[in-house]
Amino acid sequence: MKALEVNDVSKRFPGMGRPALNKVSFILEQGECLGVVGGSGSGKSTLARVITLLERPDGGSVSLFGKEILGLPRRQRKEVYSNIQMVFQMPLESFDPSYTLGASIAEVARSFGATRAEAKKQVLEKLQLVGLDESFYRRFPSQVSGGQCQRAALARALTASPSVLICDEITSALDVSTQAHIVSLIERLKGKVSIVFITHDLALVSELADRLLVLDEGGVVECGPTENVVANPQSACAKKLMSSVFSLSGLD
Amino acid sequence: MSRGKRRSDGLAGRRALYCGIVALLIVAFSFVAPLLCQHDAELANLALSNRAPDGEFLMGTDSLGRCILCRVLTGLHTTVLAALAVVALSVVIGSVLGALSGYIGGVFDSVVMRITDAFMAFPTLVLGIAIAGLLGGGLQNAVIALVVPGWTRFARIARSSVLALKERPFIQAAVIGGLSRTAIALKHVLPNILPPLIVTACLDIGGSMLSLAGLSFLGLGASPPSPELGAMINQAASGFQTAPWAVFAPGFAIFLVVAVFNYFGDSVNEALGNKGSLFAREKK
Repeated sequence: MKALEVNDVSKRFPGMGRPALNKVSFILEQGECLGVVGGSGSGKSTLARVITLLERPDGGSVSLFGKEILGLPRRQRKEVYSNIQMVFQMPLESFDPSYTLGASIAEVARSFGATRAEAKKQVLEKLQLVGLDESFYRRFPSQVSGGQCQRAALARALTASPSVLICDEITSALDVSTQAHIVSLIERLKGKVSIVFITHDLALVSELADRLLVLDEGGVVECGPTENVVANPQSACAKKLMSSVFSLSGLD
Repeated sequence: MSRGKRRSDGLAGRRALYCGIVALLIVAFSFVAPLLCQHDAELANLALSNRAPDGEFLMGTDSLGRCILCRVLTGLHTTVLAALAVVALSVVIGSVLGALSGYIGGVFDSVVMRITDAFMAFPTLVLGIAIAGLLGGGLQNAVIALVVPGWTRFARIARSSVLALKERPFIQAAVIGGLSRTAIALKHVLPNILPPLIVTACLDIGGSMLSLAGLSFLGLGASPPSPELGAMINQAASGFQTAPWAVFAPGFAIFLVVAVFNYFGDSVNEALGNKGSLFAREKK
């Protein structure tokens, strides 16, 4: 079953020469992990923002389990967000500095109908799931490391029990060993949640994704099973991304 | 802060707290100050005019023989309250309009900002004098005359803070977390735009006291004989060489109050540093 279907989505920001997204289409099957790769400025984050309704595209459609979600009135978006959640690139920036991590996560649980006690229970459960102990409930974003904060962000996204999880460059602000922890967490979610994993790091996503979608200058240049794209890149952009991975590993 | 979950802001935070307490004490003192007077602050007695400070009149008397200490204490009440009223009204009107303008955007934003521009085209005191002149004298009118040009600054600050905040990931995370626009405005936008507003408000208190004094000097503020610190200085300035105490006492009072509020504003600013938030608390 199709969890998410994106069709011909285009977006042009005023004052920019080329469109940020140019007729992007793809399908995310239920339980699948789709890797979206591309260099900076390729439109990856804009795509994530369009899918999560933070940005209104100029044209195209996005449907969630067969239901169109673009252009929904504000009040009906909550239902969308109970199905789609996103983890952001900058972990510390994605939490309000005025609240504890626990409060920020509980707020999401509360907005989806949990009572105060239920919310707290859910938050502690999710924190445990991402490998954070109870003490993190009472900590402020300024009191935890980037990696811990990103785990908490993941816990927040999971609190809504989404069927689709968008990960927008969630490892790029973290050091290598912390990246590995986060990736292993995502790996454990595979199958249970459909995942769109957006990154510029092809090596990282090739271990994780079932299929890869390569974006370049706002357009899809390649899409296929991960092994195929990695082993035999067709487009110039994918080739360039691949060669940069190998040249780095060659340095060791 | 219901469960005492204040984040440790370190030294700067504590200094801001102490300054805040002192500032509050000054405000509280200005309420009780008139009660401490032993003489009538408004009754002239030429037999006692220009007496140097002694046992009976601790700060001497002015050219009309009125006890300066009593006038300072009474004037403190008038001046501090009027300055606070100017700032409080400006902050409330300005930040509500500015924040809504930034948050709602669109036509509402354009309209509010054009109005702000129109008010900002005039220098504060010039517009203030014109309005006070239209409304007539009296402290209440002086306050209104300073609020009319004063709110625009806060509207600008609130609007730009909201606009910057709207793009921050934690606001977008709250949107994706399913929170309503009102909930986001109250829980995440409001607490985070307060710090720059508080800082500006504190720094503005001193300026407002001086502007009020200016209006009083022109006869557009507190009307004599009721004491107002700025007006007292202006009245006594001509006799500075024979009775300097009549200038020093209210001058020192203004200096003290302005310094405390400025220092408070500065320390709040410093305490915030790059943390971006003054209030650290746990949701109930």
